[in-house]
Amino acid sequence: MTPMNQLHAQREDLAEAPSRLNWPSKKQEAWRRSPISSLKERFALASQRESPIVSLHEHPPWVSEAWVGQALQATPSNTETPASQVGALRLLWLGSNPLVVERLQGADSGVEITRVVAAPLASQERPQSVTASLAALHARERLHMRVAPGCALAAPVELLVTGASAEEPSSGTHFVCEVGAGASVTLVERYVGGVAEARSMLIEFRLGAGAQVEHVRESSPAEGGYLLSEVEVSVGAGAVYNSTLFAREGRYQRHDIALNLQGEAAKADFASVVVADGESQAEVHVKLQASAPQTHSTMSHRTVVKDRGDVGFTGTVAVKGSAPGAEAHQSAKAILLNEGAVAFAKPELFIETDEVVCSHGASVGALDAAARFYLMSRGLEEAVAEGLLIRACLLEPLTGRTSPAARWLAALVETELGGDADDAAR
Amino acid sequence: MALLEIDNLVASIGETDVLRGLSLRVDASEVHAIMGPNGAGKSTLAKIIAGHPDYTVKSGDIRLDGESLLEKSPDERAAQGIFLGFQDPVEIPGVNNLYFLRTALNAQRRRRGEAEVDAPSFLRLAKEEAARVGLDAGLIKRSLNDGFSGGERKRNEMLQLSVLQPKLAILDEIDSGLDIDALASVAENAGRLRAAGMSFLLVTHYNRLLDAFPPDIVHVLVGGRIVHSGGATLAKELEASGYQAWSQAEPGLGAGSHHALHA
Repeated sequence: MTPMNQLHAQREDLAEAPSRLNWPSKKQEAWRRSPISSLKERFALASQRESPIVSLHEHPPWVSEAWVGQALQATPSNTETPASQVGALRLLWLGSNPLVVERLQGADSGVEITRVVAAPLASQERPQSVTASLAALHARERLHMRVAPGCALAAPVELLVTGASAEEPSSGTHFVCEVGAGASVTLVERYVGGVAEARSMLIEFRLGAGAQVEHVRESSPAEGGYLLSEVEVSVGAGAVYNSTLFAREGRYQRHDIALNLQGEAAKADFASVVVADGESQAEVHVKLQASAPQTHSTMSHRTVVKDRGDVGFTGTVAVKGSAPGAEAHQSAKAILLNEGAVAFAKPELFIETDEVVCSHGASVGALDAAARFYLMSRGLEEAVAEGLLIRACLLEPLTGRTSPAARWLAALVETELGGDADDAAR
Repeated sequence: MALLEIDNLVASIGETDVLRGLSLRVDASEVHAIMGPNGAGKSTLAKIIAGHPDYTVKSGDIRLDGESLLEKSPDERAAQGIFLGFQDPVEIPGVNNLYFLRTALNAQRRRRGEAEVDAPSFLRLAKEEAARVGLDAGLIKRSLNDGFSGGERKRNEMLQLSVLQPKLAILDEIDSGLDIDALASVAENAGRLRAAGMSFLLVTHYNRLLDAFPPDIVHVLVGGRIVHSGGATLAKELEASGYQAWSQAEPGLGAGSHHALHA
């Protein structure tokens, strides 16, 4: 079957596919607070909409060079951020098309990128989760990136997903990143612009022994948009996976992250920062499993919610019997700025072995009145004092992250809060 | 006109009256000490002067330089010249110590119509004052009080006091948790600031601070009122006799009766 024929076959699948997926129910705790009916409806409607079939490696007809240029202007490579100074490899999705694979200055030869045309749904091995199913379903191509063993990419890889057009209201992205033994890579993932849509995202990381990955994510769905995102990570012996997520905007966004510490002394640090206002709802669900001895992990979640925003977090750490000496720490803090704002936080530990060091904690509440009085007693106006406390809450898990990409994300948070980039953290 | 004037202040938290007709006057460059048993209202008085929102002033007045503070927010009071050194300074991870202090200083200066201090000048000032109060230079760059020891927090309060230069410093048990050297440092710096014209209201249980930084007047606060005032030697007398006589007499105390008790 030619690639174009495959696309047509996939297109036919799409019309009916969302309704055939194995959608979860409210009885599943991780979906208890999710707008499942709205998601089903949104993804079904978006999928049934006629969408032009375009040939591979070409711009869809509604996209001009100028439009792409404009989108690229908004990427970290073209802004005054630390990441901009070292940007090397850019992967650009337009809707469901991995449109541009661009090697910039300093791109390393140790990176191999393969474009895999998505198979029709009928012939796919169906992934288990609805998010993974949707992403695999909608993605016209999957990008598979392999970083050769020992290859240290000094510059970040940008994974840039632009908004789909009104003609293509649903989109899917499927990205697989294999990092060879002893290799290191930074991945900056972000969304740019777009119309209201239903978007699904599946990212898989496979870290070989001693590999290092820094994964920095900005998730800003289009206004009124829905995003389902799933990240699956397997971490080999002595490998390190650091992830920082900043989520804001959109009608609903959901992030399911599965971290599997499979090798001895594997390490994972996860931090999520979520800002929700208006009618926005966001959910972050992290499942970490330690299966090997001497693993180390931290999981931090910080959120500020106002208006009728709604943010949920569950963090599950499972230390298996095969993982003595594991160390795992979780912490979740949520600040509610007004009545009507909602936050949910549930850290959980399941420990099946002795000799572990584990901790967890969660707090949800209004701004700390004692801290606010302390700051005001030094001369700060109430609004300034509250702004500092909000910034402190959100930036706390980012303060120890010193890489340029992480600092770039912290600056984004600062900008969101109306502060001077990096000022408070200096 | 005194710097601080408190007239017959009655204040409550919820339904409970915590100050019951308290009057006090502090002049410029004076050092006053407030002593009294636990629960007498000493820390409450400090917080009410600073404008803590949990407390309601039911009657009376608090004036600084003749201007009532009652309708002013804590930040307005700070800009006017009130500084409260906290008994338990709050730790705020994520807020840089220096950034916070510069923001506070410039907020006060803006409110007073003074020019803001630029970053290099502030950094010089902060480092200089940190050295004076004995606060490690590394600590001033960390998050506000985050991971500081008790003594380091108190030194950080003294750093803020030195940089912000208020007219009246209210130090609520600044001596608790301090070792001998730290206490000497606090006393030395307070003395320096007093010489420059700053007034002090010290809330304390112990004489060791008052030995190092002698007050002009010592007040005994019992049951939400000042029941007796005297010179620096009163603190020694209290150490010997305790507050029992005042506590037993307090329920029946009326305005002015402390003079009779003292006699």
